[in-house]
Amino acid sequence: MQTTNCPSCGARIVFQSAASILAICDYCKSTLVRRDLDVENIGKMAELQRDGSPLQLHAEGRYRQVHFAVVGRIQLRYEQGLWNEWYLLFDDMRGGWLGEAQGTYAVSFLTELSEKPPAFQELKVGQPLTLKGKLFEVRDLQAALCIGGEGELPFRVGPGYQAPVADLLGNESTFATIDYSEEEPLVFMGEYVEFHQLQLSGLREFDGW
Amino acid sequence: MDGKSEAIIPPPLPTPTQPQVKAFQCPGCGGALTIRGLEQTESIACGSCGSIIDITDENFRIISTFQSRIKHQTLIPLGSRGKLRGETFEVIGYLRRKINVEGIDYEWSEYLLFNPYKGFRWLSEYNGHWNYIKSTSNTPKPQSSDSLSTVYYLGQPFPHFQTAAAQVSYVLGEFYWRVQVGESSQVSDYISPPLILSRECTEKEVVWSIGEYIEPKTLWEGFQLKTPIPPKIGIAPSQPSPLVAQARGIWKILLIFFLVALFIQALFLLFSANKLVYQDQMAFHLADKEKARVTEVFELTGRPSNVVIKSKATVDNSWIYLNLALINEETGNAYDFGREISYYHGYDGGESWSEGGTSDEAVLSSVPPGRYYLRIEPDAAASSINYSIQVYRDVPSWSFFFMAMGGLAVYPLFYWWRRRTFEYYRWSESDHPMKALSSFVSKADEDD
Repeated sequence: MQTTNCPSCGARIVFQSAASILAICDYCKSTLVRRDLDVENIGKMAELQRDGSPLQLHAEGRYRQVHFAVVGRIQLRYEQGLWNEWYLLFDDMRGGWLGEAQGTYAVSFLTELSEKPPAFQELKVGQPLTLKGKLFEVRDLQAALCIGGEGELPFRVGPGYQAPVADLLGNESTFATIDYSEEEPLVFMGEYVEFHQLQLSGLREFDGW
Repeated sequence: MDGKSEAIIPPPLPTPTQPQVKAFQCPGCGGALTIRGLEQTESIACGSCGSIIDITDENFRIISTFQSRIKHQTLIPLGSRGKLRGETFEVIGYLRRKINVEGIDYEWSEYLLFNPYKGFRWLSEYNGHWNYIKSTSNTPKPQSSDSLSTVYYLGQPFPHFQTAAAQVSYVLGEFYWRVQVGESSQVSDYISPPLILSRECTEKEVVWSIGEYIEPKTLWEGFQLKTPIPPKIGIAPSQPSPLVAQARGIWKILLIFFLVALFIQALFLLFSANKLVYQDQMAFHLADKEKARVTEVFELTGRPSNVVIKSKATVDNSWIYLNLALINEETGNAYDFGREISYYHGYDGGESWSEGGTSDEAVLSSVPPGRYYLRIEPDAAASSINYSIQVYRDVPSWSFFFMAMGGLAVYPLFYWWRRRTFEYYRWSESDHPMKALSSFVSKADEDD
């Protein structure tokens, strides 16, 4: 864990994960990129849209018996609506992602592949695709628009960039996401989970619920 | 901390987010609209003017308007909260969808349910039949590439029921996407009652959902509705057959009856005397034709029970007819009966054949005890035939047992017929209707 102060407003900035390179100040929304011992302010992060997500920063939960804390978030817009990728820091120091929208929950991890996945343009909905020996089917192809982020994140995000994303479904609730926003596509593999399985706490409260 | 050790005083936290928009005016007609799906709602359809409004847009832009001749009434009002399978959900949207099969429109209702933590569920209703549905990320696997084949979901087979293009024909309330009247998708249903799997396919995506047949009574209780429950019409694809539930009971009863019959039969076998009370060798001569003879008197003891008369004759391409009477010496009561023993055999056209046999068995049931004798009046065409008679008292009989088994078989047959009839009506609306039982009968007629 590393702490520093926001160069803009002076608020305390905490990097809980050693893998985080970016933090958004809770108070002034300055986007801070971590340099060796200091942070560089690269400007204000856009306001996130209200999306009715029950999750929030500092919420906690468990995945496969390992406790995690929610330390960051990227908000994306797909054609079907908003989608959040919550950055999780596990007690065993692994970083992971909890994808969440409209009551759907999916846990995934950045996965190294020996072979390069096919180019975005080559994919078709319904097409089978084998990744790491597991069979997937392309479910959805679209460009997700990044709205913004909060908390700490393992890579630089900025509002407005388009991320072509392939959404793949595998066997028994497993899935994979290929993010084509970088030169080298990033592959995330994981599984869909039920709300109650995550044993979440520190959630947002809704009036009347 | 006194403010000196900390160089920088943290600024105040940002003001808490404003309360969510919960009510606003319809930009189409000015009517009051309520938002129940919190921030997850993307569009809302106004029931008064048919405007569909994009509520993610600052100005509440009207995406489209639709005309509907009928204002559909929701059976569960928007805003109702209810508990289903232990989870609380609120009804926030309602839509009607239709498919067209052979020129006929079939229209059903779908209710969108919302819980801010658990997301969305659906209730579908058609002819008083309801399904409780959620989308699933567990993709079913098809058995073959044929889209009309069975799919497997969590290892369980779901035969294909129907595929049709479904179109949205009416909307009311809130949706988590920009709903459009007229939007269509290819819907394939696969069933394993009470479950139904649906695959919805648009140009952009494929979504699978799993539904479970839910009794309207359960729903009405869950939502505490006071309105009358619309009656069920026909049989729904996912409706569990009431007969399946009965099956276990039936097998249990059949097993009990079988064991009882077996027990009674065992008692019969155990307590039957099976006693030889008389036997004799006799000969028939053509000269003595139509001459009756009587046997010695023998005693039949015990409770009224059966008497078995076994006869054998040396017939060989010939016959003998025995006119028999069992007569009670004291009362003169007679049991008259005739038996024929005939045996023919030969070799014809390269095949040997035979007919009949050299022995016979006659059963007289419920003969009271007493002293009896037999009167025998043989008749034959041959010049001489030797024959023998044996009289057995209280012989164990299997006829009761076989009759009981036959009787027991009637119910399973009837049950099977009823169960098949139920499935016949279930599948009659599908892409794979079953053959009617009557069609097998008429088929058999044609074969004749």
